[in-house]
Amino acid sequence: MGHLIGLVICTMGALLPWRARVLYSEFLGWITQFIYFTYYGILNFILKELREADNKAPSRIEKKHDQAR
Amino acid sequence: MTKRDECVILFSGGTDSMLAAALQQERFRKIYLVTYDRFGLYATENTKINAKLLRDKYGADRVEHRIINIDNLFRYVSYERYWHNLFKHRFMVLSTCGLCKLAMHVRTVKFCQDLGITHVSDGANQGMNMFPDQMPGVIAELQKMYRHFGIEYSNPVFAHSPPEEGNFIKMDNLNMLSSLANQGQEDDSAAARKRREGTTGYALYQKGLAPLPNVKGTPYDRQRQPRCFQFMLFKIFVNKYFLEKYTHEEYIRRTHKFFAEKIHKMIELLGPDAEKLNRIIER
Repeated sequence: MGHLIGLVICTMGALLPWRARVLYSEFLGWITQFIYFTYYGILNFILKELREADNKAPSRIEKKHDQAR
Repeated sequence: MTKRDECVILFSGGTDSMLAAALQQERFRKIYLVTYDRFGLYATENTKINAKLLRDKYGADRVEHRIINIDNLFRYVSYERYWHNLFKHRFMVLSTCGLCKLAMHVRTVKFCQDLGITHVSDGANQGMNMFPDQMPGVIAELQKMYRHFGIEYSNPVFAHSPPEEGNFIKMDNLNMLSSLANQGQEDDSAAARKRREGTTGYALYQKGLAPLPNVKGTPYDRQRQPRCFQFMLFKIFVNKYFLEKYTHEEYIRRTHKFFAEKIHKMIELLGPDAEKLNRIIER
């Protein structure tokens, strides 16, 4: 599947004159950048929430200690 | 008249070419930082920041920065005998990064011929060997091209450790992840430290030319280099098309074959009758 996607993208790139190819590569770059930033944006958000939840919530041992008292 | 005490550096403003310049100024009386500009490269002016840093540190009379346009040359290098190359080498013609760098090298030979300079260096590094111009085989072909015109081409930072790229994951999150991953493992900090201290970024930091030991991929680094997205088509060709079907060794072999032919053609272009090259450059 990856090979087929690569084949389609490369065929289009190979048939373009130079300025159009530059713009085509630029377009591919922006799409990739958008995917990367979205992916890492969501990942960073989830990790931040996990970190904050871990910092706020008392640990299980502390909970047990409080219950025993 | 040849100037053996001067050196040309292919200068992108990044850590590798910056260190190459810092090292070569120890060997040569004067260095020319040559930055190339073309359609598709943006913010080439960013390179002036690090060029100024080098001029301030080593002296304005010893460091000269030039920005040269290679639009037509890049187009010629990419599209000469295009259909022949497309049928013979297939999508290797999409090696945009290698072809762009080859156009830069061809223009550098001309630059050296015009000024009588006999030494050229760049920031090619072993860690970037996916890019044609940084593969040992292609570097050897480029050295042959330079030697053909009485010029020595060297890569002073080639043996340095590849730097760690900047990460999209925020530092706090990264610390949390790495502390989870390293739980119960032996600390190999000595090996990690040795690797870190062998990077170009660390060497620059030690020379007082970078604020941190690793600036690679950071906003600081990005603000000092041109921006280019054309590597994306090249990366799709390599990772999605070529390496899905063939081995890495096959990729190296075919890249070497394609660029050896290209470089041979460029030697002809740079030959005694340089009229054609002048026409391309001046067009």
